[in-house]
Amino acid sequence: MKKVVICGKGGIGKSTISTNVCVAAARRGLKVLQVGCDPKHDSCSRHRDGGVPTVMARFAETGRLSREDLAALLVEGRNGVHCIEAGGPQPGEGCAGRAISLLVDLLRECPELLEPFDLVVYDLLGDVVCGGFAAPIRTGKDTQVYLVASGEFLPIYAANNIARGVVHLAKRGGGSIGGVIANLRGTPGERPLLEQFAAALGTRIAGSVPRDPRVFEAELARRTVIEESPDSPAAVALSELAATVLATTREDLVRPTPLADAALEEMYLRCMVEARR
Amino acid sequence: MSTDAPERLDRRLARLARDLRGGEVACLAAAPTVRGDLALVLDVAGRQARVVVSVRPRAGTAAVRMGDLHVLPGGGGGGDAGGEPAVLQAVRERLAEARARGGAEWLDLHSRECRDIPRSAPDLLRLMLWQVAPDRPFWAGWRLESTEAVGAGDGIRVRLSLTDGDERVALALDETNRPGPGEEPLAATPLGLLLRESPRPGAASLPLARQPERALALVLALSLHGGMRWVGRAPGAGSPVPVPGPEPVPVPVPAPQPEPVPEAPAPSDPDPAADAVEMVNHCFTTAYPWGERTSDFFATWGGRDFFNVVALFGDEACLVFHGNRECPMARSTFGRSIMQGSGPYGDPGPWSPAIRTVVTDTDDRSVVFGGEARLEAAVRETSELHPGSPIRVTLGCDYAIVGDDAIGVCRGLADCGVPVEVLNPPLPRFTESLARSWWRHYLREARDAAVERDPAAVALAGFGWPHQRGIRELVDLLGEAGVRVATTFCPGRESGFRTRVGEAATVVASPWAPIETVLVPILGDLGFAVESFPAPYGENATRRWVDAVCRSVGRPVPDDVAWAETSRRLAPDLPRLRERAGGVSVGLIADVGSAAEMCSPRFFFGFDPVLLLLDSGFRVTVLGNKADRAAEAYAGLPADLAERLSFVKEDLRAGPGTSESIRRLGLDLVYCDKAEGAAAKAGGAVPFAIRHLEPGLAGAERTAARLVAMSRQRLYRAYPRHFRGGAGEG
Repeated sequence: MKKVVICGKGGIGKSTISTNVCVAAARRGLKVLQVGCDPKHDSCSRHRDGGVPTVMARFAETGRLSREDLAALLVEGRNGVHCIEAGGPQPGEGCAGRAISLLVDLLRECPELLEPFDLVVYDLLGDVVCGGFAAPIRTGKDTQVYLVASGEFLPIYAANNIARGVVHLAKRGGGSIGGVIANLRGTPGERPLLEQFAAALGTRIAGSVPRDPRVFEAELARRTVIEESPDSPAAVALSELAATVLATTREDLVRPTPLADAALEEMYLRCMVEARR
Repeated sequence: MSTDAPERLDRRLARLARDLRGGEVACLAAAPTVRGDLALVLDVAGRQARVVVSVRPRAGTAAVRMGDLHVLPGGGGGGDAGGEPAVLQAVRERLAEARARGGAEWLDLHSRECRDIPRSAPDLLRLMLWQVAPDRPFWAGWRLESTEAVGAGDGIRVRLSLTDGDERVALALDETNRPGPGEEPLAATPLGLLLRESPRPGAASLPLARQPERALALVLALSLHGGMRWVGRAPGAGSPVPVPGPEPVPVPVPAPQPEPVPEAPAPSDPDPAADAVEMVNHCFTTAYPWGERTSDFFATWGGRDFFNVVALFGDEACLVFHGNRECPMARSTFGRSIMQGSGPYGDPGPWSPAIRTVVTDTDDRSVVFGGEARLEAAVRETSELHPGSPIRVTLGCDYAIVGDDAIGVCRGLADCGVPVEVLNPPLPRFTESLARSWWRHYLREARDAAVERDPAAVALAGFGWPHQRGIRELVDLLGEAGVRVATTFCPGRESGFRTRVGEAATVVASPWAPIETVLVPILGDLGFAVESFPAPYGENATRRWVDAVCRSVGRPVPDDVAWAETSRRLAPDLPRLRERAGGVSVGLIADVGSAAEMCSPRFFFGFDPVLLLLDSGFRVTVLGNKADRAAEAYAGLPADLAERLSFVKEDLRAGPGTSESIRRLGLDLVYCDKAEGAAAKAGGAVPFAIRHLEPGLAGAERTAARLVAMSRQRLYRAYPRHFRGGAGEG
């Protein structure tokens, strides 16, 4: 079973990428589970009309979580992709990080639930601001962490920051970086910037998803672009990304070398200047 | 919360025990422990074994895991079979089967919430028994012998019979908070008023009678869920009250048990068990707020427990711990070491805060969805139980308070007239709480109080409880020298502290590490003049201390004639006791940390134990790592003292063991801060602890007399092997 964690800045397209990678893998005949690790609980909404019931809603209702609860909340969506959503408290209350870590702990204690799957994709929320949100990264040394970024400063800043967390967690048996996923937006110099960024981290560009209006159209149809427009450039790129992820082995993973903030900013400015030339 | 009638827990337990029979494992009985775990008595191939099924993992002890359950190997019960993996495996399988059949659904990790409990005598009994199970020691050997629920409606009462050895103590728990004729009210607990019933005519006096009463009050108070309330009427009130959700009922009227189920062993120390048996001193790792690891040595026992004690005790406040009841802070703050007087300040602290304590017992659900409602319920409930008392909220466990705005909750309640405030001691991982530490806040108020400063007045910080006999004597001693003690504080504080501390020209502080590290900087920041002198233990140390305090406020020091007169008056027997002490060999065993630390006031509660013992006439042996370095500090001792002092450098962990070393050295007394002192006893020595040492001149005499008397006990020398293997040493 491969465990994949998709993370990056909020709004960068993590859920879209996670969802499409899951669909692409499922279409290859694999058993796939997508774990939504965002209290907003919108990660798996494209897999299943009507959404996915959240684990934390059940917890709030019953005050308990058992293996049977988890099994019931692990639902099958279209294309055979299974989904489970953590959910969490309302904004401003409680601790959503604990909700995520609780779900991950419970899944770990019920290995039989994960056993049937060939691929488990954890879709993290935008900002890994505490150890609870990072719990999926701690699920094992062979966990592949992918940083989604685009060619602006803030996304690579966030990705660099998460890379710091990965370094720390890797020392305690957590996963390592499988690569940077370039979610291109058409800004000048974005590809060289992301390539330099990935190189600086010591990793690779695992996949590049071009800007494609059909992704938006698929969203409107509440479907994945692979389902809606399988031949579109974005769908092709996402399918290739899925193939890369599935082909990635533990040997391909790297413990990243994140940049200092000043160095990151300097790299970004240099790339932007070069792009303007 | 459901209002369905819950299944009685005793029936559930009986069903569970039935379900666990079969195969190689026969479950004879199931009973909850005071800690909230489940103890199972098993018959395994003709041998009786005990396992504890915990709903929480415990570091280093979880041997077998089954989903949410953690089966811990248990000792006692007539065999050690509980520790065998095969047995545990069998237990796990049986539990899994029972669970699959739905027989153990209530053992789920998150099922600790219980449904509302009807207000009736049997249900009071059930609640009571959830806290303390009959025929099991609930406090250092005292047992609850029997319980009986009487009455209904307005007058529910549980009669309790406790045994302390052969003695019996009759108590009653009255939920109407009404003492009967001749009954002595002991404590208000969340379950009702604890009363001591009229003694039987002609009954002998009970020297320890207060202890089990205190213990029971503590167990009731600490074990009780903050939100636990009954359906129906509040104690002592005539009108129905809304009921914040009660709690797991976990204890039943217990089914007949073939054998008493002893309490589960405490979670094991990181040290190997063999080491624990062989050690005389606890190992505390202390890290101060900035993360500096100061020492592993026992006497640096500061940190959050200590600051809770020093902050909380001293007035008639009620306490609400917002955190889980298994949080070490909530438990150990009021643990045996402090409340029974074996803590750093000898005498037990005032008891009342411990019996006015409520723990909100946050769980995972509280963490994820916020525990503010639970905190509010606990504060409101405390306010109802103790009207008019100030309520302090302390945030117990950082794990359990994530996301809760405790300050906001308390501010809202304060606006409604509830006298509540949040205090947050400077916890190691809450550096920002330094800024709002209770002591800082409290001392700032004291500083700002407009009082006239008396140049001949001092305040004493960190030397002992204000009510402590030795401290009162020190105050008198300074008074005779012309120095007025405006107030003493930390631990505890006197009434009027806030204004009286401002009267002092100088705060005299103990050099003990927790005081020096945390309280002294706060005092300094706030502009108090602070002086620090080694605490006055022993005659000479007391004189040096009095002289130093006099100098600090510009007073003349007492001359030799005056001091000799004072000494004759307050400690007339000290010379005679010194002669008798000359035949007693006392050991300071640094089996944790180093010998140098053992002898340092910074680590040994603010004074030098070597000088105290030498001054009292004893022969002293310091044994342990780096003893040679410790010896250097005593190079300048007068010859008569130096000849009674020896240092033995020895790595106790690498050698034959502490007990063997004690025996080899022929020590009569050994300093030991472990409760049972098994290692010292096994070495043939009598253990003594900080609680046996008192400050001041009269205190020096009492200390010497006490230690000389203790040294005459030959029991351990005659029967050392019977004291081996102290299970209670953790």
